Amino acid sequence: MSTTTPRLIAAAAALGASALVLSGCAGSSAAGNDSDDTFSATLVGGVAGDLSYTDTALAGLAQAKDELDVTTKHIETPDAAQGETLLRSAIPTSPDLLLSITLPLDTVVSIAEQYPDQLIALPDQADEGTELPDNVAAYTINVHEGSFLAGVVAGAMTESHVVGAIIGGQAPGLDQFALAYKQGVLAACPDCEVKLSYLNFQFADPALGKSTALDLHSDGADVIFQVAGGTGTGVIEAAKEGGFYAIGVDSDQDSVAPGTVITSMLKRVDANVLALITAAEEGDFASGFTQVGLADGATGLSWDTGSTVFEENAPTEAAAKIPAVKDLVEDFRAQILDGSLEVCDALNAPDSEACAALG
Amino acid sequence: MDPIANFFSSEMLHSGIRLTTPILLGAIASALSSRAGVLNLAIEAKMLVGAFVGLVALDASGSTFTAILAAFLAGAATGGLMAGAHRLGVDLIVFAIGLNMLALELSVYLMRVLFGGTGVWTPDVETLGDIDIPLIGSIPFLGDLLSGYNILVYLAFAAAIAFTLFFRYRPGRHLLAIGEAPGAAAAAGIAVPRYQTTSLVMAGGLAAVGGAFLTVGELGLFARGMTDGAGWIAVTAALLAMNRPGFLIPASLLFGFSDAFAIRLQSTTDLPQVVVQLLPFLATLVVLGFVGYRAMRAAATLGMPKRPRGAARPPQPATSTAGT
Repeated sequence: MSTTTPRLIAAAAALGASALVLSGCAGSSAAGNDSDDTFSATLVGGVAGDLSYTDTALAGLAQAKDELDVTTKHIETPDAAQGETLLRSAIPTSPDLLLSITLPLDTVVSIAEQYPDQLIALPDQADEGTELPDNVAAYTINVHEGSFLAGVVAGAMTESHVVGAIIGGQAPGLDQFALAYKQGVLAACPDCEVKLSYLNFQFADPALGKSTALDLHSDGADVIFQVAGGTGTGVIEAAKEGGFYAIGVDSDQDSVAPGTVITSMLKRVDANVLALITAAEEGDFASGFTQVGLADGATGLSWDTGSTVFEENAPTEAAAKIPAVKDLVEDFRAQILDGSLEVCDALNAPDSEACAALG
Repeated sequence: MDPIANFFSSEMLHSGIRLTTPILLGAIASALSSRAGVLNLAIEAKMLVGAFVGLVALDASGSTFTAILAAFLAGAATGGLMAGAHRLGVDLIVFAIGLNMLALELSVYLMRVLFGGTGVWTPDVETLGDIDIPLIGSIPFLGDLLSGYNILVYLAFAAAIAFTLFFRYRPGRHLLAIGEAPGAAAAAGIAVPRYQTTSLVMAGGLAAVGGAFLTVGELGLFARGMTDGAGWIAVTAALLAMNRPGFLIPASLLFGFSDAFAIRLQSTTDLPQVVVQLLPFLATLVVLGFVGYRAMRAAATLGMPKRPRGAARPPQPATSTAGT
């Protein structure tokens, strides 16, 4: 046995080395993009197929590829700790525009300062008051108004007058969804009870999502809004199985479980990806923060984009309610847009009157 | 009285038991490996293998039995791989970390190539049905606690009990000896490599069934990295139980119920969110403190984890007193 061991290790080492060489090849062929003249954009971050956040960003990237004359690439960061390394490693391939999602802002800023010639765009980045270098542009999506409308839908659809929400963790960025949703529910249904269930930043645990949703349902909740990434797929699964309703988040999740997901609260990272690539390609890359919200179409419901999946698949009784609910949503949307209704923004204005009323 | 009954709702008990099941199976796997003298950190990998293979087999065959069997065999094969590496003298900690990464990425790769789902794969399958126990099911509290789960839940607890009983028999005693002092066990004529291989294969199979519980038993979908650290929690639960078979169920219940408690506390009390999330960890800390204290006491007895029971008695009765 003692003679076979070194040979085996050598074989394994050879295998590992060849894998490295292969990945090296992939890297060098990517660098070759630089030689042609087409505009190239590389998105770093997230994991494809989360049916949520990353997929929205990828949809924007795909749209840019189709509509503009650009080449695009996505580098996944399954492990957040590798994000910085992967973003750095994307720079030598010299894309004309580097898009970054899910990475902490200060990491991106420090990389941007080291490479002042590399344009970096952040399609979804909360404005924490950090000064951005000239080569960085960021969009902040304020989701509270869209979440409010999702709350209106939940409040109007509930039979039990108990609605729930499952939130991945308690943080200002996530409360921007949760508290506005609560406000929306109470606006549509003043005597409704809103149960918010926070997890401990577990965004990839469908089994936990399912358990939490069933627990909320056992307390009477018949509509549950999920703001929990991959954990949320378990929430939708629970709703499908338990015969209650769910509201999707980020992407259009209506067809994940047709007839179960009433609507999805969209966070249009895709629109920002497209806008940033378009601007950079046309040469008017504007550094600094840009705030976008309901008025810009950056947040809203899947219904706004013409989704009718629920109406077509839901039991007739529930589907019959939808036209009235849509009118109600439009009513509130008009009030938000003309400024007569203030929605709680737990991220940027947690001390506002609208938030204080929600406790 | 009413708030307590409200807190321990049937859904909370069900959630807790369901979240415990994969952890318990993983913990048995981990304890079994540790008892064979191998620190098995690849429980997470085996769970993912089981979750993935189970769902693939369920989708292909439509039979939940085939699915669970396939998951068990795939996990056992992974365990066999680990046993082979151990025989060759490979550092198993490094090997296990490699396996964990391989299982995570390979499952995603295969899902994308074979089924077209990029991050989540939702085949049209029927998951395991729940079993209602006739008489016990109608008893108020106990019925909720004991009845209405799928077969894998009962299997997990049965496996834990069987594991406890196993140490009362000769092979179990041999395994204990191997874990404590492999050299001495080999000198006593026990086939150490064979025991270790069998243990790792069995551990792989059990952990994989824990993973299959998630896909075949619960969700009917596979998502990237869906075990979300359950394998590591299982290793921790086994350590917390000091690899003592009798403590595996309570240790797993502690971790399984911690999430269920946190969910429930939020809906029944006004405690701040951060405090609620802290409680399970606080409970773990207290238990670990207790375990540490016991270990210190044990250190005083020359490093023996416990005083050998019946040391004064001759060895033959010790192996044949299984019934008493």
